[in-house]
Amino acid sequence: MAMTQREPPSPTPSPAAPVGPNKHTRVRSLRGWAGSALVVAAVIGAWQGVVALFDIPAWKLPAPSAIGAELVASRALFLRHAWVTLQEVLLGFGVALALGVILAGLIASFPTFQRAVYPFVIASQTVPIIVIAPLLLIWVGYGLAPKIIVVALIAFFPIVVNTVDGLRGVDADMVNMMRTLGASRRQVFVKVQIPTALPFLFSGVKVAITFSVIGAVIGEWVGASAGLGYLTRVSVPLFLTARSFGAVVILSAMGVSLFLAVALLERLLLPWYHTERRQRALERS
Amino acid sequence: MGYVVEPQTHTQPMLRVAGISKDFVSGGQVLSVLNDVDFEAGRGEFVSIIGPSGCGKSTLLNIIAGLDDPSQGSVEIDGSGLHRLGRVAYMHQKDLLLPWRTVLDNAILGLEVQGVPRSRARERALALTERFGLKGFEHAYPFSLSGGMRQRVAFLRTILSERDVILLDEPFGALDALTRGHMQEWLLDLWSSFGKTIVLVTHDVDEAVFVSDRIYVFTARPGRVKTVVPVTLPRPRGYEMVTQAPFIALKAELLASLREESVRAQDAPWQ
Ligand SMILES: Nc1ncnc2c1ncn2[C@@H]1O[C@H](COP(=O)(O)OP(=O)(O)OP(=O)(O)O)[C@@H](O)[C@H]1O
Ligand SMILES: [Mg+2]
Repeated sequence: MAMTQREPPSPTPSPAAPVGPNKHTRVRSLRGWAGSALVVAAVIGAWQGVVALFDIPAWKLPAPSAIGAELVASRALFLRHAWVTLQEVLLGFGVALALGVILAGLIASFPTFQRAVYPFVIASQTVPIIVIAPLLLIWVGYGLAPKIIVVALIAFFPIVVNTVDGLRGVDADMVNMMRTLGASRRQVFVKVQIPTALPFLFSGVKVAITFSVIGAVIGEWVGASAGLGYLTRVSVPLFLTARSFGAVVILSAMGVSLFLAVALLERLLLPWYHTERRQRALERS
Repeated sequence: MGYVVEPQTHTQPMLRVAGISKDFVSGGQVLSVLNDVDFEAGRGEFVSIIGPSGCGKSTLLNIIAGLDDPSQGSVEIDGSGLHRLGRVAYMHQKDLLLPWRTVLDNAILGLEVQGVPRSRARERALALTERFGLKGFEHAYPFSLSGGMRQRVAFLRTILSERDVILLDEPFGALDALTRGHMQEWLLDLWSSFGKTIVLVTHDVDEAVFVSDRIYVFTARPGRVKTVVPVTLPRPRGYEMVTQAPFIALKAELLASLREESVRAQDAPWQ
């Protein structure tokens, strides 16, 4: 067929411009960071000033400098306990993630499963964890296991709820498009439902990882012989207030770092999601 | 030249819709959308459907594609009435690109579903990106593309699914007039070299006349075939034809027919 090939029309933007954060947004986010650093510095400064001004004894309220000194002086101790807590957090979170994703997949795929199980998932969150934690000591003993269970119990809920919403939020037209291409139910699930749910899963994971740190501390408060939560509990009666504060500082640093790690992972795994969202935000502004 | 289209002489049509009716029941109310529709498209034929909004055009395509079943009547694709899903290519008005896939990976979706290895499928898509005006954008994500380009990715996905029949539901509805004109010429070009049977649903009379071998005009809801208008304009067609007498005469005939229907629809909005 001797067809003259017509050039396809292309009213196009410049070829595949790598869509990264532009200068504008980078400057804005830098300004944001500088702002929060300033606030933190102001709070610490005021705290230090108040403690010095009113001559507050260190066992009542240690100055930031005293907490810093304690963190340096007892770094081996802090490190040992932080490692225990980190293990509890990561193991418990891992269990929650595996359990949460499997449960969400079943709930979203099988209506009967949803009716049978979803109410219990929700009910599990209405029982105060502080009541269950001591019972766990009786049931599974004193070691790592009860802490992992407490962490998992707290962390699996946001993962399940978000992932179910994501799996269900799939565009019906997209599913039909896949069906006309001849896709099986399984192929639709893998190629459309799962990718649709991933951003939702990540939102759940961000909440869950932060909850996990709290869960580990609760588990340690109820009964433990190591961990940062344990350290805060035993330090206060001994008037080692700076040590207690030091443990809290490390706990929040742990929570923030884990959160940032998840956010970073999300950016790496879902590059399309962030650029799309940013573009939409830019269009709105 | 590749314009071997003789709609009147085909022995077995590629696509045959016989006596189709469709009622939707919602909340105890029955809405009759299609009423005894007969429709045919020959091998390699380009057929368009025009009709007032809501007359059941998309419903008909859904039924042909196998996404829905008729209340009455039958659909035969290439002589077989069984299992339609996956046997015709269907392009929705929305491009329905998967935002997490690059241009190339969106295009190969149909091949991938059929079990063709990704690397082989990508090669085949790459061979066509130039033709589809997507060169240089193979690894871009859909959000960075213009509307026309997104539509062409959807086209590439449709073509690559390698069906003999292609259903197009207002594929250019969302584009501006100029892009639209270009895309119509481009589609004709594509059709003549791929030799597929195309069924195009459109609101645009110019578009229907410009591309089609035959045009089905539907009545207002419940939709049925009002007339079938053969388009005898020579091929290949170029945009200069649009202002010439034969084109304008056909267009006038179609517009009059459509006008009647939209007036009827307004007179009886409760139907
Ligand atoms: N699943 C459904 N359930 C109930 N009613 C439906 C359903 N799908 C379509 N309809 C109704 O059927 C009628 C025809 O819809 P359809 O989308 O086929 O029209 P159309 O000819 O494609 O219109 P348009 O030109 O506006 O796209 C409409 O009144 C619509 O509300
Ligand atoms: Mg429609």
